[in-house]
Amino acid sequence: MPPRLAADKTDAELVEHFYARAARAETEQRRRVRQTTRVGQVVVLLALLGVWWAAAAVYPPVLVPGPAATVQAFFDGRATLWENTPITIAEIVLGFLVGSLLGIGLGIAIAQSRWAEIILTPYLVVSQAVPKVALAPILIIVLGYGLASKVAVAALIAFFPLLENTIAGLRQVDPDSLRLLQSLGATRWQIFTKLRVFTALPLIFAGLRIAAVLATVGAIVGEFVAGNRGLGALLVTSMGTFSTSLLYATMGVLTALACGVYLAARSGERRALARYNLAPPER
Amino acid sequence: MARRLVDPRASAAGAPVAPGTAATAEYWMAREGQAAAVRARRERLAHTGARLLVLAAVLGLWQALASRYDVTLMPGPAQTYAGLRRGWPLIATAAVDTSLEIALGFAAGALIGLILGSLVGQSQLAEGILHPYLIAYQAVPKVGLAPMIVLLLGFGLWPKVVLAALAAAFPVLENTMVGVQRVDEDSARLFAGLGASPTQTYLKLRLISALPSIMAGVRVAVVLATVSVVVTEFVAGRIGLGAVMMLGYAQLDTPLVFAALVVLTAVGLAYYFAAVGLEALVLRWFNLTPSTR
Repeated sequence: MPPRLAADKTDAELVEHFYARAARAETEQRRRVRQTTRVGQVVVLLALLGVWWAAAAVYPPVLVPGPAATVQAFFDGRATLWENTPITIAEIVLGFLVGSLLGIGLGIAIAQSRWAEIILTPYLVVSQAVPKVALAPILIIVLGYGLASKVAVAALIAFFPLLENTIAGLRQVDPDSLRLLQSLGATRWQIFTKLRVFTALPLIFAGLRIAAVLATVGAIVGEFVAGNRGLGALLVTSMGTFSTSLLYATMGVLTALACGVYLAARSGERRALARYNLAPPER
Repeated sequence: MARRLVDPRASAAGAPVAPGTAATAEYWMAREGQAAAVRARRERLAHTGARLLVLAAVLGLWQALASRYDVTLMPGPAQTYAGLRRGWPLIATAAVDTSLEIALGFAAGALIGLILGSLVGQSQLAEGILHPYLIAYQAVPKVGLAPMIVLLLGFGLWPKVVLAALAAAFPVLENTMVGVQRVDEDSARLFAGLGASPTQTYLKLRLISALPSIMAGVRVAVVLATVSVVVTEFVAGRIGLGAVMMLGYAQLDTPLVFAALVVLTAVGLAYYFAAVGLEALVLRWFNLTPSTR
């Protein structure tokens, strides 16, 4: 409906009127896109469930148990799941803490010396390409079947992103700020605590986020290999005994746990950045 | 080797050239340049030497540790080499299997990631719809799926290929999706103004300008494929280097575990540097700068 061009309205009022209309239309449009997105997300979820259902109908339950059987297994096996989940969580948390503290500490130490960095750079590049989880059997031979070996695997792979990001972050300081502080007679320690730390923080936070996800991977692989306690061990055991519905239920718990770790890490990163008023690192 | 400079003051005829001429200036500048080159070469040599020293120190530390502990707990470099020689037939076959699994899984995953990423990157709506699923896919450790996939596909080659593909697809998908969207606006407008079809715009503009980002994803994908293959071999334990490691682990034949790990590291490095080389090659071919990631 065209607006009534009332004679008693000034130009300014008319302009305001049209602006308001455009804004309303834009909000409406945005709302519609959001709605379509929601509907689409639900459709995708239903489609995934449908595929699962269909696969369960085609294959015998020992190969693919359906959603109902999985939920049933979740309730039947809740004692087992309840027993194994905290172990995995403890391994993830400890591995994350140990690995990231070592990574940050060593990163700071290496970044102090130009020589150390130059010498170690090719080894750091190589370390990116080496499948570090493959060390799991060796760590378990050395450290035994208990908690320590899985924490070590988790810590080992959580360690590297923090080492790399800490070194890179401490190095990428703004040269003008550095020169300013130097000309004001700042000591090395002052430059470190007042400048370098803050330019490094975004990369360190990003490293912590990656490390949390990797610690989860490490804990699970450690449990695969040692295979006595924890969700990873439960997966392998239920594979070996063909308790497939328990396997699927465990996968569900593991997925929820991993998503929880990821979301916690991401929101932790955002909060930490907001706390120090920093921009996320450029990707 | 530095070119030997002839002092122009003592020319071929033996007559000294007057100082302050262009020839003398050139001579001194060239000498300066050569001195800088020599300094740079000396520095590089020092770096290489220091790096080798670090390597030697690590090997020495390994040997020292190994001599203190039992061979079952910590075999030294020599015992690892002996394990490699003893287990060579087993390790060689396994290395071939593992390499094949990585190659197939990586190729399938990268292709899937490239196709899906291109499709999803075309539409903001599709990206919005898939966003939570992509996050879940990223967060879930794909190696956790190994027992499930082994149960479905058996203990042979295919579960490893599938898992490697699942792991390799994500970084390529994400980087393709971001890359095809982050295109120079002026070029996009030029393409639209010249009446290019969406396919033409995709093939000649979006895909090409996404290449640095895609290749960075490929580099990550190779490593993830390697990790997934090894972990699936741990779980399935019949073929591949991961299976050899598990065999050695179960029989407390630790030198065999170390030997298999060394070969695995070599395989992983070879694939990684092949990916780095491919990245350099592709970017040079299309005259692009590498992604900063």
